[in-house]
Amino acid sequence: MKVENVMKTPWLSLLLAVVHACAGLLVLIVSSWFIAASSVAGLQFNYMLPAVVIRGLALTRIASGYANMWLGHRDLLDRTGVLRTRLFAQLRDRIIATRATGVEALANDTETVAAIYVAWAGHQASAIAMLVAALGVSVWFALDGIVAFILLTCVWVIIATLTAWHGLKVALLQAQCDADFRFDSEHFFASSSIWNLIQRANTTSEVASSIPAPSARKVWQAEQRQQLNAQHGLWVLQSIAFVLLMVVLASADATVISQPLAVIIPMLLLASGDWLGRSLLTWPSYSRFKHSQQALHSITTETITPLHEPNLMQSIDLIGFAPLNRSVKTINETLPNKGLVVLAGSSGSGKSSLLQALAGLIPFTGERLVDEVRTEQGLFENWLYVDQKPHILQATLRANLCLSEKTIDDQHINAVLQELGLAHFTKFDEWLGVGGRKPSGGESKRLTLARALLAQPRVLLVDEPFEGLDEQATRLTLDTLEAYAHNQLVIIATHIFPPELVADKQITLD
Amino acid sequence: MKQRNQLAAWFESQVATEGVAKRDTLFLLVALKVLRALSFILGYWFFAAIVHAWMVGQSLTAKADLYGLATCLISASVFQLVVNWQTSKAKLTLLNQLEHRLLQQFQRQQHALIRHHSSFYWQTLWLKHIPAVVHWHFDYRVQQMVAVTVPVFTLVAILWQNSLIGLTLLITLPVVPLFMVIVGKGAASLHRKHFIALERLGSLFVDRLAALPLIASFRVHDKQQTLITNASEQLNQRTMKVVGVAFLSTTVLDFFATLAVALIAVFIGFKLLGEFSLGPDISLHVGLWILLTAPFLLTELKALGQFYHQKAEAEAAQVALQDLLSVPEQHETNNAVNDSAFQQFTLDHFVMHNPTLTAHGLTLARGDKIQLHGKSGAGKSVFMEALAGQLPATHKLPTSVAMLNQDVVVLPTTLKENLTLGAVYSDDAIWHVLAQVELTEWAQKLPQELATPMGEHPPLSGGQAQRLALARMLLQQVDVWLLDEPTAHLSTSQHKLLTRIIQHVCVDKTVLWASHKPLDSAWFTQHWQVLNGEVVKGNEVNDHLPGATNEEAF
Repeated sequence: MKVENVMKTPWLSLLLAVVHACAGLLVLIVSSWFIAASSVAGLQFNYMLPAVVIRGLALTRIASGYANMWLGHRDLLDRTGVLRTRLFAQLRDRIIATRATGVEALANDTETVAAIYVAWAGHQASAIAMLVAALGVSVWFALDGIVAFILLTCVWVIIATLTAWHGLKVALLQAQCDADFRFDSEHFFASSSIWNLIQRANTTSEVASSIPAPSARKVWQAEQRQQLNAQHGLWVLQSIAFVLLMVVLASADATVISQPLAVIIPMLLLASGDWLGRSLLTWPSYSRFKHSQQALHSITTETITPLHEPNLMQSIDLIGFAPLNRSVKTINETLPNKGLVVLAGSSGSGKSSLLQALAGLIPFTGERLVDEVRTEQGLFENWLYVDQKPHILQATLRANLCLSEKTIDDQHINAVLQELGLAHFTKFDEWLGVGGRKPSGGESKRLTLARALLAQPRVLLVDEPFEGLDEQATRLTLDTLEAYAHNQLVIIATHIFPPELVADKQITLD
Repeated sequence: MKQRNQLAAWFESQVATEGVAKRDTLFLLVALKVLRALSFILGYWFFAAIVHAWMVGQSLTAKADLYGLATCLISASVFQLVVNWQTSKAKLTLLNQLEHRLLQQFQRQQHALIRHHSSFYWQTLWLKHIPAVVHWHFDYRVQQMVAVTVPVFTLVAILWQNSLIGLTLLITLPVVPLFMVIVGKGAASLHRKHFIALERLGSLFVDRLAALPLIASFRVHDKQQTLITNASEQLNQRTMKVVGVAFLSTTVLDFFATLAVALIAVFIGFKLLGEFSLGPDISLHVGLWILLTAPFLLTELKALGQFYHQKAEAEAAQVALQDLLSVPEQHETNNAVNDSAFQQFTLDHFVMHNPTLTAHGLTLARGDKIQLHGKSGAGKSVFMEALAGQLPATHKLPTSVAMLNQDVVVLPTTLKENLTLGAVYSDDAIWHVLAQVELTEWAQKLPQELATPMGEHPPLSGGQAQRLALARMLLQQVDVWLLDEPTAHLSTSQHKLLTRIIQHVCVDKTVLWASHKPLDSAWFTQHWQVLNGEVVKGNEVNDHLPGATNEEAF
């Protein structure tokens, strides 16, 4: 999925980064030159100008530093915002196929991609600008030791290239180790309820840790390699600069005597770690950027085709019907146009996926006929599926309940909440979720049902409506569903059978 | 400030115990970094001497200065290299030690701990939070000490060479941390002001991504799209208000560092020119050296700023990890595990905390069948987990136990390994237990019988999977079984089948069984009930959904 296409390059913030870096280096170089010049100065030395320049540079550095941070960060935030908005736009009528880990990771990926200018590009631009400027000055004044400085520039280019290349290689390894660990640990955590048995089974064979646990050691080692790669790059650069410095100092001839300009190249070489260092240390950020970019490009999604609401008058016929690619037995059933249909079976028998396939959230095999007309794969408007795991949106109570485009008056909301035993939810503007009220599991379950009921669907498909509810809540939920089934079709999948449950039709999957 | 102390206190008391994260390593790294800075300061002395010779001395580089500079630069480089290596090594060592600690805690608390969170949560804890603590310890904390030590050495050296500049720096330097504290407090109060909004807006994007199917079903993508765009704009505006102030902290540092260099340069230049007469005389040698050395007063503090995010990450890690990195305590219990001797077990003055649960005068004898009653959330599961020794309590069963709940585990390995879990059993023994749980026919139909891999999607229904779990327990021949709603997720017919099988194979076992679904109460020898935080002997209490049952109704 391509999301980060043409976004404006933040030239101003890059320029400020360059100014900030250059001003810092210039303060040091001009200062040292000024001191040297002052010590050999004759009467005609105009000392006021350099003194003013130094102070001016200092102020420039401070001002550009703050402005750069501020603009750079705002650009990062705006960029993140745009990336996320675009990503979301592209996910219209799609479902992300990767697991829960994918969603959190996507949010991080957008941030990493957006941060590239602040975290990497600014530093590289500054390093290049400073190198070019320094080279220009050296040539202009025909400074001694210019060869050494040209060599340093070449060394920087080579080291930067090698660091980048090796960094990307290590990043691949990192991604692999990370994926391996996640795969291993998934099974490890999923088996926690039999750890005690595994432990017992292995007491005889003297294993130190009797749980066959995964280890993040390789992930961490790769991370350390990534860090060391950049640090070593810097170390080599600095060491070579020191060698060049020694050569320049040792080979100085009489031309340097009483020549204040002669301090420039030695100063540049001596301080190289300070002004070129950051450009090498930010290469891990570039690796992360590449990885995140790749991740954003390769999001796997499944499309849900939106279909218009069919005019259900008679019945729904399912012929050889089953969710695609799941080991669920096919069914041949006729469902009425209204009433309560119960899909019975144990967990794992495929009730959920059958319900989802019926609604059209996932593809199916066989045929789904509405009033004897064959229908395409896809999601019908006004057929609502209520998930077994309730998803309370991070939003106000009203926004949660009135999710659909329909306008719903407060009286109606109150009535539905009352029916489901949720009358204690009275503040419609109260925020739910992170940073607000957190409804209990049972409350969440009924709130999501209320949300679906308020949208007044033609067909309501509810997955495990009674799970995790106490006796009273179960009865209220059942009453509500039965009442709704008087006029519309309600299909529930359940392994819990409240005694009052009377179905118009039951399909058993076990 | 208070929080940092909390973090350090937590680290010292919970993590840095029993020889883990010894302070020696920390001090070694600090010493190496300080030595590196000192090498540079000394090197600058020789460098300034060389330049002095060029400008004033009218002579070329003296050999002694050249050798001195070379020695200092080489040692600075070597110290840097050793710091890089040692930091990396120390981090990996601590990471491995903490991973071991985490595994020990997992082994101790097992399902009682893991069941509370998703595997994604545990992976994040493992992959992100443990390193956050380690990075904070070996980067932030080391740099913190370096940022205090190096300026002291620097200041002493400058004072020794030029008292006027030294004193001026000594007087102005404390202004830097003062300003940083003021700015920090300002940013913190702004952050508190916007905290709830930032928290809500910040989590919105991930929330809506997770809700994509819901959004598609309700056909409200456009509405949510607008919402996300607006939320992101608001989030950015509010964030900028906070960071706009927070950045001042870096600017204060930058301000002093840059201005110090500029003013020192101007002052020294004017001194050399004879424009100023204030303070001791100064040579180019000392002047240039001070110019080069003075930045060391603040560079280490600046470097600390780059590690600043580590502190926040470590604080988040502390909240998530709590006591999971400490050495698991041996829960003080009144008894040790001894399989063969188990005859009778009495619960007197049983107490556990979190949630609080007590019991008194309950006796569990060999061969007992006890039904455990109580509403959902009353504490039946934690009671069993305490008896199994997974949660801390005054008592645990003095024998090994097998537990079965509704979270059925089928490993992706072969059927045989799923049953043996790595121990050695004969195929006859395996077929015997399969027969006991009525899975013979199913297993015989598998393509490679016992050697068939179960894979990611095992060819089993929920009921069959639970019978497989039973067979696994039978094979281990454990005397005491703790059954925690093993049929909660099953349909009524499957529940009945499994109940019949359990009752059949458990004849000579000691069983504690919690169920909301109806069980034949005559089969049980005792009934216990969890009521208001207390486990009491109870007669049959009808706590399940009245008749929560039957498909015969249809």
